[in-house]
Amino acid sequence: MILQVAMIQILLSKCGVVTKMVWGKAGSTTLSSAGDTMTVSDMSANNSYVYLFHAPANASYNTIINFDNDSGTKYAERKSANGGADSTAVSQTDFNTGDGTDSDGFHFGYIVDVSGEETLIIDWWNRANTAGAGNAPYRGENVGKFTETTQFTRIDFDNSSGGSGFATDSNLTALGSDITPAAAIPALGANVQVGSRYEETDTRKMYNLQGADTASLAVVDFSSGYTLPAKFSATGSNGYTFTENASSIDQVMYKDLTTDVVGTKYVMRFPFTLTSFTGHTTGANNHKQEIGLGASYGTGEDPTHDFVGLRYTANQSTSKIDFQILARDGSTKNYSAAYSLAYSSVSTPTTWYIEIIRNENDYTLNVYSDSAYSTSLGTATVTQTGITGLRYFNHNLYTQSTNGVSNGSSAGYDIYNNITSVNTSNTWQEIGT
Amino acid sequence: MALTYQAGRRVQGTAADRAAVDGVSGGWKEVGRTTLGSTTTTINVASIPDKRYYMVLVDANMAGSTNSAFQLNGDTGSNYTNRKSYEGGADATDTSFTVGRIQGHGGPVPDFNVMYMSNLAAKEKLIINHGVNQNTAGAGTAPRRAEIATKWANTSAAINRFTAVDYLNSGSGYATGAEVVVLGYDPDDTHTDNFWEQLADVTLSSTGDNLSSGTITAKKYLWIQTYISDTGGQDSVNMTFNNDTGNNYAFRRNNNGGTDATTTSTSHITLNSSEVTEDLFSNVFIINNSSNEKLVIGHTIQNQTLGAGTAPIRKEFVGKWSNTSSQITEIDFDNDSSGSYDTNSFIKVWGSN
Repeated sequence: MILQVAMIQILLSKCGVVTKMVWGKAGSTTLSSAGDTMTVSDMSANNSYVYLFHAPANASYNTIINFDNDSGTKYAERKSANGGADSTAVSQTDFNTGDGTDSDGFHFGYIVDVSGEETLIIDWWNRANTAGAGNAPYRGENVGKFTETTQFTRIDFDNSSGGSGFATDSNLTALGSDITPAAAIPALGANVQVGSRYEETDTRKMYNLQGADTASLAVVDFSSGYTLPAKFSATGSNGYTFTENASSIDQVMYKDLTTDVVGTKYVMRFPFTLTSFTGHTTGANNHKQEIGLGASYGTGEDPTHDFVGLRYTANQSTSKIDFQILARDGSTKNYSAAYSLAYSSVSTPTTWYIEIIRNENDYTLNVYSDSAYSTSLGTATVTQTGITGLRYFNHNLYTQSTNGVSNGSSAGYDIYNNITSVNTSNTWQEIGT
Repeated sequence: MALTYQAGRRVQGTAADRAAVDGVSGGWKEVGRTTLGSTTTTINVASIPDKRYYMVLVDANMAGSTNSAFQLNGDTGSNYTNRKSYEGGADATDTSFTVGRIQGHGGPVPDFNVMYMSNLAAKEKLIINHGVNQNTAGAGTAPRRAEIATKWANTSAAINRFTAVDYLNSGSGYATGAEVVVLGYDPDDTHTDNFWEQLADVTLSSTGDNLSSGTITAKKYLWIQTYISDTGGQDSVNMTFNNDTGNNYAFRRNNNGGTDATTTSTSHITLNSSEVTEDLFSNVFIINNSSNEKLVIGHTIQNQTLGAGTAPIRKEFVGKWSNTSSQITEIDFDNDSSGSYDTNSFIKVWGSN
């Protein structure tokens, strides 16, 4: 596709024709961690823009818009929330959309930005309100203006409340009415041998090309060396299945990976698939699984060996499944939910992609919906000291109540030792000046 | 500077040479469409790819007393909630509802909606919809309008299906030719075959009282933006189609969130009447079926006084042109007040079938 675009451009430019692409992407940004600022910059001037802004809430936030990072008193606005009477504000330092609440939000709008004229904005928003269909969303309709008459090249959506209100994966996109398409130019690393040195003439810096990370241990064959009790079964050379379908299960599948398998920094990744699910509903009982690395391979509701991994539970009190990071130092356990899903929303089969990161005493669980580990469903981090001796792969099954089913499979796991993030492509690492 | 390759796996160049440069591509692309070949109870668009945002065009030409609504991913559970305003009235809400609202006016008349949706698998889907309903045929009756915010409380799946449904099962569904078009946009898209194509881009080269698209290619869906700058007097902004100045128009308009006012059997759709003293920007969508009345959804912002000391004015309107024999092939904005449209005034028209 990129080549096609480039060829089309060349041909058209030879003919003296410039092709405009209607409502093409003028810029876009997506948060990789929670924040309060979203910026699209370096835009070429357009007379008209559409913007799209979707920000799941990490905390309560109120969205304000500004252009070219200009916080002078150059803004005026008119707004209505939930169909109520309009209110106005003049001589403002930003365009305050007035959408403040603690729930996910979505804006779209139109901007006209004619050189020599004030910039005009029409904005709509929808804030989700408390989760669930029992709570109607809030809506807003606004207009605003920015009195600077030079065409802007940057737009910011910020949270005026602070506190990292915009969650990971929040996105701001601007579409322009008159976009000239251009082919992407890949980073140099895609075409250069790993280990090459780059001498940057304008910054006087030097870089070394690091290859994409490869797993220090990649396991798909569980047919030898793994202890598999009755509720586990190796599936040839392609992972294993687990059966959590009865009361009073207390089993662990394990293997000694030896002391060299991980240090105090590592990343562990594996798919977790549910092929059959019924939420358990018996009060004061637990259904849970723990998958990760332990200093031993004990059983019981809460084994007492050091352990770091995924804690998957079916929670009868909330009627949700929870994906939690569990970091356990002996009998001291520390856990936090990265992602939860209502029983009623669990469809089978569904695969979640689990990433566990140890960075010294910080332990993070990332849950993704895709095998590229790029679409995040949620994240959580806990801090726990004293965890040592991780060498055994563990998958514990533990049930008390008589109802509930969480049968599934895993296609294996990858461990990347001595790193805390996985690079999937070659990258230049600065080595000096 | 060009890259130079030296012995010993050494490469020399600038910081810009080393870094990737993003392509310029992507935008609203058609990702799904269903057009009815006969009267059917639903309009189902399946196999929608996962995109971060959708723009959905619902040409809901209804049969019988259908109350048009929608469901996502075939979810018929009570997982929808709506906040809605009809004809500019006070908001009302539906909770734990089995459908997302579109217009909801039962009646065998055309109805057109433009919806924007956010779509992140693990988050509730948020939707903003603007709709126009023809109401009784003819310029003697003003159209109806709707503004609706909807939430689909699903947090486990991306949107993969859009189904227009009759939520009361009170009618016979949608008439032949009714259609849903789903456009998708994702930040990772690299295509350049966007749905909308430019039909007109006209900027006034001299001051005047007419801003015209000129003759445009007829398209089923039209998207128009107009910017009108005033020379110093007072301008009106009257929209007509195909140079028809007969009393074949009706519209409903709301200023600054007040009460809707209607005008019927009139010679144009009035965006502003003798009010524009600085500049005005309008965004308009039209469903442009030859054999149906042409339905219009519009919004404007009006800048009455320059500077941050004065808040702008907003207007929302819906309109119709009662012609049922032709498609729109020209759009005009005319001024019949004391001022003139200034030289940087423009009209842009985009369209698609």
